[in-house]
Amino acid sequence: MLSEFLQFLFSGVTLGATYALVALGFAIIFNASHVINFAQGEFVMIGGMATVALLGAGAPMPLAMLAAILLAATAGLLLEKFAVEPARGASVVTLIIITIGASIALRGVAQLVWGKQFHALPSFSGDVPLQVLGATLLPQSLWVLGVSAAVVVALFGFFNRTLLGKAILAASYNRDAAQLVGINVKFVLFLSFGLSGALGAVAGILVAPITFTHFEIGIMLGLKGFAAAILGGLGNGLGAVVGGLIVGIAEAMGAGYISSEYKDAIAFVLILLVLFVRPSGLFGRRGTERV
Amino acid sequence: MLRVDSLSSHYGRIQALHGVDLEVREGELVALVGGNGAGKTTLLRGISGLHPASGGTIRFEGRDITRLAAPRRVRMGIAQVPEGRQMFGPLAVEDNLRLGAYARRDRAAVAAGIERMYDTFPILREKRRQPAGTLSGGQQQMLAIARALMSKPRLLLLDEPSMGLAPVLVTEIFNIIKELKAGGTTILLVEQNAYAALGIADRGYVLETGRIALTGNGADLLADDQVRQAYLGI
Ligand SMILES: Nc1ncnc2c1ncn2[C@@H]1O[C@H](COP(=O)(O)OP(=O)(O)O)[C@@H](O)[C@H]1O
Ligand SMILES: [Mg+2]
Repeated sequence: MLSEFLQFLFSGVTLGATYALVALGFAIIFNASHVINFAQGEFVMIGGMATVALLGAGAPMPLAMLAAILLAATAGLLLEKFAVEPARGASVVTLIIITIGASIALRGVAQLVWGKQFHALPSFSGDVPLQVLGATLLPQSLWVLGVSAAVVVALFGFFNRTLLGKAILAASYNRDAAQLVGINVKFVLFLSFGLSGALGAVAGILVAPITFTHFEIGIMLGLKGFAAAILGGLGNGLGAVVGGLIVGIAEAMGAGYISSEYKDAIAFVLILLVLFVRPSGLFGRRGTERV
Repeated sequence: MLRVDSLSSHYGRIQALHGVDLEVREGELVALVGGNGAGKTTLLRGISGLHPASGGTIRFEGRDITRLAAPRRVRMGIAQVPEGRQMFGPLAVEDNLRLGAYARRDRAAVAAGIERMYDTFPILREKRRQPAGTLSGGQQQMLAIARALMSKPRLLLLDEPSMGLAPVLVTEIFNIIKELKAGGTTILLVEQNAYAALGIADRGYVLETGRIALTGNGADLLADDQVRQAYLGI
């Protein structure tokens, strides 16, 4: 009983940490631009797929991971520069459609370059499971949790302790006032897309040894991350983390206790529930909030 | 110091400024008055770079800045206290001040600058850790002025700093403006409160539907029958 529950909890928290990183990517771009970036899942895909490809080409693991993160960050920067920036002043709906178009294009390129197969990334430190009160815990889960926690703490420090982080928040709270103190809001937007790309890639790399990776893996991960972001309150950093964990745990519990066939549906039931009951999310107030 | 020549500005197809000429000389306090919708805010946003010019030129210290982006103009020494205060609401008072000096790199001097603002506006020191959005209207106006001063501007643009404030606070804000002028800051002051603004200004401009209708020194404009009738209600 307990061991079963713990087992589901472990897998839920692991998934949830990944969703939290994806949701943070949504939050950062949403705060900077009020755009919901539906290419966020593609950053996750690029992270996992590029790491696999670089490993296959003989690169050592840390280098492959770093290069994959940089590649996804670059994809984010290019997306901003060549798709979002030129459409500045267009309606939010137009911008969202642009990001959907970009996500389709990125998947197309990924399929061409990396093929349609599923790929496994080796676990960072072996596959010998740890036994905890009768449940098994994969070492990779600890990597997912540890790195996600470190990323969240680093982001929190960046936005609350550094001048650049505060400038990014300031630009999201009041664009005009930010320009009047000398903040280059165009650059903030650019930077936010790069940061989101990197975050997505980190999630994709962490989770690849557990879930495998594939050129279309970003669709589901992106939607789950989006569900987490909505659940927590779009644009709210703490909300993204809590939302991610809730979606992950709900999904694992549903798969365990009800049926694994409903696993993917649970996230969407959660989205619908939130939109009906509390459209601003658990932590959201008016859309723009502290990340 | 600042020279605006036949500046035009549009919102879409609607023209808000029709060839405005205006000059602010070093050390001057110039008042820009006019009714609601005359184009005062548009003119200030044009000077600070928030709203593009569709014709004419803006020169600052001899340099043509007409096409320069707003953050670059801040670095040249132009600061604007925008209409409606425009706080970074969820950020702490101190963060708002620190961000006011975003364009500066001299960290020690910035810290000293924040202390000086706290000496000038003691209420801000008291509330330094509170989100700016929780301050009262008057306190926010002081923070907006202090934040603009944190960039060490040579030219300060003030857009209706007395709007929505209780009379005693209006007096206080005007005293602060007088002190700033005495301290050597060059100021362009936009006010609907024409009487008070012209009273402390060296010179004034009257803006009417996007055109300069009258200009002269502050006292003369105050005595002008046309101005008295249109803006002072006497
Ligand atoms: N964002 C805007 N979009 C369209 N028209 C605007 C906008 N802002 C101001 N205007 C118009 O431009 C004119 C000048 O406005 P403004 O500069 O705000 O005047 P003032 O500050 O003197 O009250 C007004 O007719 C106003 O309706
Ligand atoms: Mg105005």
